[in-house]
Amino acid sequence: MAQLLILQIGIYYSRMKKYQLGEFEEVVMLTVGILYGEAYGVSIKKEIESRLKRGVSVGALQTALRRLEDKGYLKSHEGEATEERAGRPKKYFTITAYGKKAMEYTRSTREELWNAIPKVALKVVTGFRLPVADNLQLETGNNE
Amino acid sequence: MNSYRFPVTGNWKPVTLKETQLKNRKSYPPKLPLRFFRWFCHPKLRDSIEGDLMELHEERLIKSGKLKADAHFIKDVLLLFRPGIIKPTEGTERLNTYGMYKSYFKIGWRNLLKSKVHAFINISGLALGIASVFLMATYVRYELGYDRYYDQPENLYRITWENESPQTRTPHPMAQALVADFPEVESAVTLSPLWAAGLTRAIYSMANPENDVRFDEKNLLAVDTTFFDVFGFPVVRGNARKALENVNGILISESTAKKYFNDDDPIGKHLIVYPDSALLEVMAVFKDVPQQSHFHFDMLISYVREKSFDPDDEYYTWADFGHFNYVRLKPGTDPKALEAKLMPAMRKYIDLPDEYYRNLIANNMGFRVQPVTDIHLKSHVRWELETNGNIEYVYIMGAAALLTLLIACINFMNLMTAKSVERAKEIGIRKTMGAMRQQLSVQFIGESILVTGIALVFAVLALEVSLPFYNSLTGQSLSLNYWEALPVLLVVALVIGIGSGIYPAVFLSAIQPQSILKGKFQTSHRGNGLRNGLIVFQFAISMILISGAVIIYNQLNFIQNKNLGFGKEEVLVIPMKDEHMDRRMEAIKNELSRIEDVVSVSASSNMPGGQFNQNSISLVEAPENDITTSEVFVDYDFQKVMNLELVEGRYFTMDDKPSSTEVKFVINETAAKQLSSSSVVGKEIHWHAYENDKPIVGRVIGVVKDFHFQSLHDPLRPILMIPYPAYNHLIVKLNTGNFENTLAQIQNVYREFENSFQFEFAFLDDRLAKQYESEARTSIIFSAFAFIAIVIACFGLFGMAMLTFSQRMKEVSIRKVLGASFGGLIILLLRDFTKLIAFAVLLATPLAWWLMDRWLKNFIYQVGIHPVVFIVSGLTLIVIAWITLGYFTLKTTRVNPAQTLKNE
Repeated sequence: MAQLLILQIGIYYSRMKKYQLGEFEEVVMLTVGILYGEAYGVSIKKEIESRLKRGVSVGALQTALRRLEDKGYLKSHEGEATEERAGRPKKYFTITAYGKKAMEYTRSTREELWNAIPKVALKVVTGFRLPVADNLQLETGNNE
Repeated sequence: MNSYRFPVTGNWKPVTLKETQLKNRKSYPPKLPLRFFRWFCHPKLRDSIEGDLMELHEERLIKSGKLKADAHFIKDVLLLFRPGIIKPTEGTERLNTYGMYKSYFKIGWRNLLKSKVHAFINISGLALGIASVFLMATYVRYELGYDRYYDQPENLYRITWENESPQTRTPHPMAQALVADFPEVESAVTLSPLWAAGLTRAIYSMANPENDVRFDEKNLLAVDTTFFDVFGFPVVRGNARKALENVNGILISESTAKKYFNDDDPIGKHLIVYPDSALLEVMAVFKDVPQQSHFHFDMLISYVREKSFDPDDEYYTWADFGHFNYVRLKPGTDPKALEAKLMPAMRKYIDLPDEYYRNLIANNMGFRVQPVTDIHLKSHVRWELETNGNIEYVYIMGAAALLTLLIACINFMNLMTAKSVERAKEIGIRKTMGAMRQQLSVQFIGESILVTGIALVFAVLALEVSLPFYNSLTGQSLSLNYWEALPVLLVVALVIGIGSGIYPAVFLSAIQPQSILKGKFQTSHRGNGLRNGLIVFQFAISMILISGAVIIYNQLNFIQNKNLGFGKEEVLVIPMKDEHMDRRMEAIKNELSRIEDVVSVSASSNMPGGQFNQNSISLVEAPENDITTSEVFVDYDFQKVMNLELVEGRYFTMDDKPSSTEVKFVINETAAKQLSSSSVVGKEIHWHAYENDKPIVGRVIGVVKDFHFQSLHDPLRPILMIPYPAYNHLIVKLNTGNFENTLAQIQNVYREFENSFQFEFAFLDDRLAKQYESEARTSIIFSAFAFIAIVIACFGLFGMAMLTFSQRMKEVSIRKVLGASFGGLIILLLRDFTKLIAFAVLLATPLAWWLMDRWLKNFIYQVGIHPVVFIVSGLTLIVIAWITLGYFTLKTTRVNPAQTLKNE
């Protein structure tokens, strides 16, 4: 019973957030896109580190990759085993069509939000004056 | 470096490396972290991530040296130890076998649904059994929970007196003497109800003078000032000690306070006591005495007040064993050690003849120290404060309930093992797939726990429904606290589940898979012997319960209908609460006799079934033969109203009133026989009811035939009748007629003479029936249990028949084809079970006989155990069994052989 309830809540939750993509996940997706065809663990790590000037641990990256793969945004295939890798194969990642949609959705929602910001809020206010003097003159005129 | 080996674990697929690849490597990452990583990493991710790690390590090695590269490597491995990467516990590497339990549960549930009849039999039987046991547990708990309400009840004791006829009452000064003489006695109190003539509880009419709210009060006790020190009853308002030191003080219970004063503060208010219009001041209020107490009181007054009326009364001296003494011992005191010291220490106060004293000591008699918590169930001596319960009935009920549950458990065991054919394939396959015997046992025990769990839910429902019924049937007020009961219920369910599941578990798990899968295991003959044994056991228990119920019922019937030696029908007993009425008896009798349906009228101090005061009598010519005698003050028409038979001499007449110079007595046959072997009529006797230190001398004028003035638990005892106007009961013999009308007229007459008390009445036979309340209750409950037990046993039989008859279909078909008759087939099918039940009946009869004989020994007057009881009970059982088997018998005999045999 309880399990069923949790499941229901889960479904509801995922529907609400149509394409859920965290900040780091987005960065990883974009990097995979940039490295088109050459994206595997070490190359992604290096690319992010050099472009964004921030350190990325293997653990964080691998968790994100796995999560994205589970969500169906990325797919992977095993590549060649090189000497420096002691014969371990590389795992290359590519973006799926669904992943592309998710990225586009994230981008469009960002833009929507950008667009929704009133122009004024972003303007630098230089000066403002009320036209008070004319009204005052009219009033004094009637009184006389 | 060549020696480096990759540890092989779990699902890991070894990657073949070329020798050259290994040789060309400059360095390897540290082994331990790598191993760790390999151990925890999800196998699917392992290779690629490991490759990444290697690549990074290699790079760093070139860039910043081995140390830093290794440090980075370790850091990376540690950071990889996170939920997304760690392998889940799946497949063969599960941390627990939860999945197996899930399977057991599922299979168990499906099996229940598959054979609904058996599930119903098991669950309903167990539910009834558990409900019975819990109902009785509640009752037993209630009975055992008496007198736990006081402060530290285990240190409270009552002093009783044991001689040839033991009694509860002891002398008044004893309490304080005990405190003075024994350091281990912390505090002590004397208490006593207030008595009217003949040791009948006095009734007072009390009123609040402000608004004239008036009630009759019976539950009044006189107590020492130390009462609350000893019992530790909670006092709600006022100072109890001060109240008990005051001559005019009275203490009342909370509900009594509400009754008279509503919500006003009762402290300082007054109560008028009729008939003598004394004014008492309410000085303290105590909490109501709970139901589970061996004595109850609504009001307390002080002995100070009682003594103030007649300080020199012998009643307050060591000579009168007429009070109830309670002591509180210091924690850790051995009551037996105190008991041993009591007689020698008390001897200096009590004037006992040397020989009598020696006799007492020799027979190990004298003062006894009795735990207060034992009084309700175990104390049955003269003059108990209230009628106590009986431990014997607690045992009987508990045993009956447990036996009922046992029958239900046996059903479960039998049906489960009998169904082994159906389960055999499952067991075979499980075993072939590698199930251990132990695991299968766990599965079957689990199934029985499942069934018990479901039964438990129904049991609680049944309990909830039956408790009000039970209470209204027995007049008790039991209730169940579920929060308290829940852990017990769960433990009980577990114990029953394991207990009844263990045999089937062992039995079923022992089945050999090869015999099942070869198709050899087709009938359930294995375990037949034990199964039959258990059926015999079940029906033996049923037999004991059924015959027990019949005998208890017979005995109850017997004592309720036994000729008591007096006429108890249509005798109306009206309490005479006002003592001023005694002297106007003649006028009352005259007035009442005028009423059309009144046959005769009399009065007495005591009535049969109540308690009697006792003193001893002896012939003046033979003073050494001193016999303890109950006494009753009677009006001269007592014999006529009660229809007593005169054996010798004459009964009292109007002229035998105490105004005459000589006292006259009438005694019963037992008293006459005990006094002398020859006739005592006309002889003078001493009645040792001392008046100014001298026994009262009187002449026996007549002897009446023995009558049962006490309950039939007691033998016939001597009784002395005294024609003296100290009455408590007006006795009116009626004709059958318009009772309502007659009663109204009687009440009118009564009101002419007394107007401050409530008018009450009861029929003598109803009063007498109350003596056997606990027997009546036992009879009802025992019958109910017998009924439930038989129902459950028959359920089991039904289930067994369903299984065994369906296995005999082919046999019956062949017999039919060969020309067996319908009757012959029925006999064939019923024969086996009938044999079992008949055997059970034969086995149970001597046991039941012995048990019931033991129970009947509680009674002086017993209904004989007639063999007919057992014959009828046994035949009833067999007929019930036949009816149970009837459906399947008919179904099996009506089988169409063409249908069942076409497969052969």
